[in-house]
Amino acid sequence: MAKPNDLVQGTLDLLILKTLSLEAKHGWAIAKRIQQISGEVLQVQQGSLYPALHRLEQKAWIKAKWKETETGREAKFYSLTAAGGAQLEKEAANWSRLSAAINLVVETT
Amino acid sequence: MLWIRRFWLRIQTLFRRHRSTQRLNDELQFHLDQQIAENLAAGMRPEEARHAAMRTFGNPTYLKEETRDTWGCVWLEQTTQDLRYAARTLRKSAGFTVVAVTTLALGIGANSAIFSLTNQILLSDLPAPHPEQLVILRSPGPNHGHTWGDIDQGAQSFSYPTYRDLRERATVFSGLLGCRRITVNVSGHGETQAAHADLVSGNFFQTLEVQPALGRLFTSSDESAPGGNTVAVLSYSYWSRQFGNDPSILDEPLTVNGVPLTVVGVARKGFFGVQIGLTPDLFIPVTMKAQMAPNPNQTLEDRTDRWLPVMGRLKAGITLARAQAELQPIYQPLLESDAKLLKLSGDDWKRYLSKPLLLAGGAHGRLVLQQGAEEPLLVLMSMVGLVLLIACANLAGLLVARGEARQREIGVRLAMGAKRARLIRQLLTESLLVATAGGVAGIALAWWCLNAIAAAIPQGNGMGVLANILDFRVLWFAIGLTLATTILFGLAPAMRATRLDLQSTLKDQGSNVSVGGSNLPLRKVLIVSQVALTAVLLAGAGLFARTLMNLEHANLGVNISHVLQFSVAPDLNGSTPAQTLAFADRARNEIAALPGVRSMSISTAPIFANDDYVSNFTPEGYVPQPGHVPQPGDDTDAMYDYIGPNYFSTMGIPLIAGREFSDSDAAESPQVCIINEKLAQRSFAGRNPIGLHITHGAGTLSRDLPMEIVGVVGDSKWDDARSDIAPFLYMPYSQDKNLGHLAFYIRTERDPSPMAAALRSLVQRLDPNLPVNNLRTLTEQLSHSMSNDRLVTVLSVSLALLAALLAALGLYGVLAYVVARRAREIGIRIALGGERADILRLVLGQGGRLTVVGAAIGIVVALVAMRWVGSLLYGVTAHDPLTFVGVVVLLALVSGAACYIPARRATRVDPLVALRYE
Repeated sequence: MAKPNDLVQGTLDLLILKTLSLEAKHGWAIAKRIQQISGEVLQVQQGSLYPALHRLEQKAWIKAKWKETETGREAKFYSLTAAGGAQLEKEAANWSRLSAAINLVVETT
Repeated sequence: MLWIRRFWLRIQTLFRRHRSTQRLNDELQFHLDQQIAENLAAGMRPEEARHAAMRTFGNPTYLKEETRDTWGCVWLEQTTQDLRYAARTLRKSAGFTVVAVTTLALGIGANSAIFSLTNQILLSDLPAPHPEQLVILRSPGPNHGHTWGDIDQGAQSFSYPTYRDLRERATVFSGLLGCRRITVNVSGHGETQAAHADLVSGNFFQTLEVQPALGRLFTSSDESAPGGNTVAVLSYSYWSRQFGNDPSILDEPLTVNGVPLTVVGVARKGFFGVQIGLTPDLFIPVTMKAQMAPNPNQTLEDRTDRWLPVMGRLKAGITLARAQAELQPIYQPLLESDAKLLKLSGDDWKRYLSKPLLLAGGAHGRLVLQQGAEEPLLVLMSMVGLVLLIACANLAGLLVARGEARQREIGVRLAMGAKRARLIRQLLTESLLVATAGGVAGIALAWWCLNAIAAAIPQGNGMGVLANILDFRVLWFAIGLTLATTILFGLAPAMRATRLDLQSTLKDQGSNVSVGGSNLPLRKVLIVSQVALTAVLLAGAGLFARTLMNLEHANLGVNISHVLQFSVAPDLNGSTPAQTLAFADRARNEIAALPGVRSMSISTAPIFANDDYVSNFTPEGYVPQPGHVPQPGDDTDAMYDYIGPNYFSTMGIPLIAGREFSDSDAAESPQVCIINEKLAQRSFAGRNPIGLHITHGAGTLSRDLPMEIVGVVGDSKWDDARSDIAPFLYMPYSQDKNLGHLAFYIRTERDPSPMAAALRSLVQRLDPNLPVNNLRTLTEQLSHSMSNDRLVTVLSVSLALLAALLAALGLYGVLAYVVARRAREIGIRIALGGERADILRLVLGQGGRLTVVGAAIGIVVALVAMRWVGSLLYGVTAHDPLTFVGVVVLLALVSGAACYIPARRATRVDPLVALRYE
C-alpha cells in the first residue's frame, strides 16, 4: 500500500484540489474521500494533510470557513477559489501528461 | 490580484496568530474526534479507540509546527525572536556590548569625520557642469620679468596678452578663462571693508556655465576697454551677507578701490569660482586690473608681467594629451616674442624657449588655499585609518573571545536539538545588532567630531574651507568594514562552535583544561598587531606634539607679547606713494600719542604672514665668481622690508651695533639700511659693516645707489615660527619709492586687546575709505600661522590615545580570559604552596611578552613610516630617541595597567573554589 510519503511531491495538492472541486469539505472528510475514491489505496496522514491544507490556503487556492456539521459541531470547511480552480486544471493536465508518459515507458518494454 | 490576496492572508495570520493557533487546535481536535468516533463505530472500546486515533496522529506538536510553518510569516517571526534573544544576551553581557559598540563608534566616527573633511578639501569638484572637462594651464620653467604667482612657483601665471593670444588661437577649448584672486577695498553704506574679488575674463561665467541669480553675468563685451569696464557681479553669499538679498542693488554703483562699479548681476547660489575654500565677494572684469590691483610699473598689455591664472574647458572628446600637443606650436611663438622683449640671450634664451605649456586636470579647481594642507591631511587620514584597523582588531578579539566563551552554551543548545543554521543565524543577528548600534553611535560621533573640528579651524588658512558636511561614502565604507569584521570574526567562532563534537565540548568546558582548537593564538596575533599599530600612532603623535611644543617655544628673535598689529592698503584706493607716506607719518604720530602705547612702528610687509620680499643685495667689495649669473638663493640673496623708526624697539629685536632709523632718514636723505647678524656674517665676515655700503640689485646690473649700513640687529624669524633665519635687510619706508601697503605694530603697557577699537576709529578718522585689516595681537597672528600644526597635533594625540585605550582593552580582555581559563591550574599551584608573586609574574609575563613583541614591531614600522612626516616636523628628527623612548614607556605603562587587573585576580584565586568548580 502506498503511503502518502511516497506520493509524488505536489500530488497531494492535486488530490485535495480535486476533492474540493465538487463541494466544500473539512479535513477529515477530505482524507476519507481520497481514501474511498482510491479504493483504500491512498491513505492521507494528518501529518501531511493539514500542512498541505494550510499551505494551499496561504496560496489562496482554497479558502476556509467555520461551519456547523450535520452533527452540530463546528468544523473548518475548505472550498476551492477561482484561482484554485485554475490551478486544479493546470495540475490535472500536468498529471495526465506525466502519468501517460510514465505508462508509455513502463508498458513499452 | 492573487498576490495581494496572499499578502493580505499573511498579514492576517501575522496579527491573528494567537487566534489562528487556537483554531488550528480546534481543527485538529475535530479530526481526532472524528477518528475516535469512527473507531468506536468499528466496535473498539472507548479507551482503545482513543489510543488508536492518537497513534494515527503521530506527534501532534510536530504536526502543529509543520502547519504553522506554512503560514508564511515564519521568517519575520524568527527574526523578531532572534532580535529579541540577541538584545537579551547583549544586555546580559553589558560589558562586552559597551566595549564593542564604543570601539565601533570610535572607529567609524573618527574615520567618517576625518575623511569627510579631507575629501572636501582635496576632492571636491568645482560647482560647474562637467568639471572633468576643465583643465589648468601651466608653464613651468624660468620666469624672467615680473611674476605674480600664488602656487606652483608661478608656473600657472600668464601675462594678459599671452592669455588673450592663446584664447584666440587655440582650437581645443570650448572656452579659455582667466581668473585672478585679489583683495580690494569696498566702500559705501558709511563704512569701508576689505573684500575678496576675482578679476575674470569676459567669458568666465560662460565657460563655467554659471547662471545668474539676478541680472546678468559678464560677456566678452565686458572685457573691451582697459579701465573702462566699470561693472561688477556679486557672489550670492556676498549679496546675502552684505545686502540682505536686496534686488534693488542691481544697477547701483559700488565703490571698489575708489572706482564706482555698476552691479550688473549676482551669480547663482553656491557658485564660488575656481578655488575651493574661499568664496569671492565680487567678480570684476580683468580689464580693470590697473585700478583693482595697482602695480605702478606694469600695464595690462605688458607681456613680461605674468599674473593671470588660466583655466580652459576642453571640447568634448579631446584628451589632455591631444590638447597639449596642439597647444605647444601656438605657445612657442609667444615665448619667442617674450624672449625678445626680455632681451634674453645665450642659455637664458634656450632655457626660456624650452618652457612647455602643460595641462593639468582642473576638476577640483585651483588648490591655492590647500597648499600645505595636503600633507597634514594625508598624515591624519593614515592615522585615522590605523585607528579603524585597531578598532577592527579589537572587535575581532572581543568577538572571538565571546564565541569561545559560548561554546558550552552552543553545545548545550545543539544537544537539545537546535538546528545549526538557526543557531548561526542567531549569532549573526547578535553580531549585526552590535554593528548597527556601533554604526548609529559612529554617525553621531562623526557629527560631533565634524562640528568640533570645523569650529576649531580658523578661517583663511588651507583647512579653513571646511564645512561640517558628512561624507556618506566614507561612512558606508567604515560601516561596511566593521560589518565585515563583525561577521567574519563573529561567525567564524560560531561556525566552529556549532561543528563541535558535542560530548567533548560539554566535558572539556566543564573542566578548565585547554581545549584543542582554541582561538587563543588568533587573539594573541590580534593583540600584537594592535600594540604595534598603537606604537606607530603614539610615535607620530609624540613627534607632532614635540613639534608643536618646539614651535611654541621657538626663539623668534621678536618679543610678541603686548603687541597689536593691523594693516592697511591705501594704494588700492589710488593713493600715490607720496600720499601713503604722508598718511603713514601722520598715523604714526597720532597712534604714538594714544594713552597706553609704549612704542609703535610700521613695516610695509606684515610679519608672520608669509609675505616675503626677496631680492639681490650686492655688498661693497663683492667680487662675483667669473661668469656668475645671480640666482635665487644666491650669496647676494636677502629678504627685505621697509620699516619705520622705533621698529626694533617695538618688536623687541636687539640692536647689536649702530642705530635705528629715525625721522631724519627722510625720502631725500642719504640712502641707509640696517642688516641682521646673519647678513652681516655672510656678506661682511670679519669686517665691521657699520658705515659700509650695499647696493639693491645684482652687482653690475644694478642701477640703484648704494645704501650706507647704519645698524646691525639681532636675527629674527619672519614667515612663522617654523621658518629659518634668513639674511635680512631693512630700509626706511620713507625711502620706498613704491610705498603702498602698511602694517602697524603697537606695543602697549598692558593687555593690548582693548586698544583695538581706538585704533580702528583713529584710522577711520584719518581716512574713512580705508579698511583696517587683520587687527589682532602678534600672539594671535603667530598662533594663526600655527593652526595647521595645532590641528594635526591635537588630532594625532587624540587618535593615538584612543588607540592606546583600545589596545589596553584588548590586552585586558585576553589576559582576563587566560586567567579565567587557567583558574584551576593557578588554584592547584596556590594549593601546593606557590607564591602569589610567582602567579603575578606569570600573568604579567604573558601580557608583557605580547606588548614587547607588538611594541618592537611597531617601533620598527614607525621608524620607517615616520620618514614620510619629516617635512611636518620642527626641531625634532623623525627618529627622535626621546619620543621613541616615550612611546615604549607609555606602552609599558598602559599594558602594565591592562595586565595588572587580571593578574591581581589570578593571585586571589581561591584554590578551594577553583578546584570545586568542576
